[in-house]
Amino acid sequence: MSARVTREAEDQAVAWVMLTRDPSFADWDGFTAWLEADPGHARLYDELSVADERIAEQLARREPIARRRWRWPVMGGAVAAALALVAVVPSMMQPGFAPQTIASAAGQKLTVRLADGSRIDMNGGTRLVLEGPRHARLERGEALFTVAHDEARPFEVRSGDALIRDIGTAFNVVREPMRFTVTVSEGEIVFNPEREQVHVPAGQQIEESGDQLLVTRVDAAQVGAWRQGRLIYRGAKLDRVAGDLSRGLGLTVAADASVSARPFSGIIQLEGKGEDALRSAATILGVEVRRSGDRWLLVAP
Amino acid sequence: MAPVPSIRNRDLTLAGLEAVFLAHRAALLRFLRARGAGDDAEDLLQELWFRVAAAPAGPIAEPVGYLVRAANNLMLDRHRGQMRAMRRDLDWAEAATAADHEMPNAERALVGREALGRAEAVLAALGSRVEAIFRRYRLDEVTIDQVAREFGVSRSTVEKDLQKAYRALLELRSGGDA
Repeated sequence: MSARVTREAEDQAVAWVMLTRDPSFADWDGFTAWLEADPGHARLYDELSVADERIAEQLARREPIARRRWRWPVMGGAVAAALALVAVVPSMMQPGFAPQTIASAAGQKLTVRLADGSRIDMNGGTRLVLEGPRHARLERGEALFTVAHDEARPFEVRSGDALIRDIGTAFNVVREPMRFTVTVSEGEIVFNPEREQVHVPAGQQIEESGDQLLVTRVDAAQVGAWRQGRLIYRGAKLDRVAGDLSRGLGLTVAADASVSARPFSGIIQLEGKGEDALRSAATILGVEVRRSGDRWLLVAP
Repeated sequence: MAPVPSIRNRDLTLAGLEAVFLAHRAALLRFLRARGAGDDAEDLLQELWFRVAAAPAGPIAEPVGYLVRAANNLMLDRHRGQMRAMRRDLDWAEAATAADHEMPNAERALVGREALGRAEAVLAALGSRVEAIFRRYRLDEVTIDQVAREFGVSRSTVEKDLQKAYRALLELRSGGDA
């Protein structure tokens, strides 16, 4: 801006930028009068609005963390030999512990209690392998891990090629074909300690998005709300909501292409299971439900 | 109760909106001019209608406010478009501006995080209530009245806090661009 802008005009512009964001803003006459008072006001308002949007975007969505490619360090013979030894005797192999697979049917929730006091709440449609007393692998679905912390033996969860290591923690993991998220409600985790080493504290979520990792803020108190049948979203796409509904209701639910990218913000309280619960959820989502074979489709009304 | 087929709903909403649009044509034109539309005001008014007609229509409680807001958004988009065009023109001349676009991903993320760090520091310095009120209002898209209810303070307190936060955050912009 070349013209000199008075402090007063800028304060007023800031106020209008702030006020017009209110979804219930109604004083368009007052706003028009201010704009008409000086042709510079409209430019100031535009300029501040764009700056405000940029700042809000940064605050709402942390910038993607570029993936660091992990490379084997070049090592001398002695170090290499030591490493090989560790590989031969993996620390998770403990005598007397047979890996155990636990699967929950769609719509069925399960709680697993471990000997060390840790607890794993499994959502429906979830498959989990206990590979050791402090090691689990999430193959698909969603689970909330509430971990008894032990500095000497960190609890580790693997999923796909990702590794989550706890630092005194409760965290929720979702693994679906197109989605992998870890949400931390207490303490902190390290995501891929041998690669990107992203520390994710309580109240944040890390998400694989193509080739990038995305860290966003979440409400820590709401992590794991699915255990009470509560699904909470802020701008989530409907295909993601459909995945959650499938797990929670025991139905195969998908979002039709016409609505799958539509964002939804709000809370769905699942009451009961099956078709009726799906229909009331659909009302909240503003879509209709259509049955196709044994699948249910969310479609545009 | 059988739901009314939504195509009918949409037609009804559109017909109603069109009536409001025509009745307030002069006021909308005046608003567009005040927003800096100049000689393009008539064209923009037409564009506004195309936009409103193309948007998914649900029931609209305040049709006049809805249309003025749509006009305001149209002008904001126009401004963004102009800024983009201007930046493109500048790119060949000013390497510094170009760097903003051509930066490799990792560096861009770093810049993003630095800016984020500054914004978060500015917010934190304003105190926890101001920060919480700002985040709730600006990031969650709720009304000022709702924020006031949630925090148990008056509407004018919320407005003052918001003004403080906006002002401080927007200072960052002058610091960064100058």
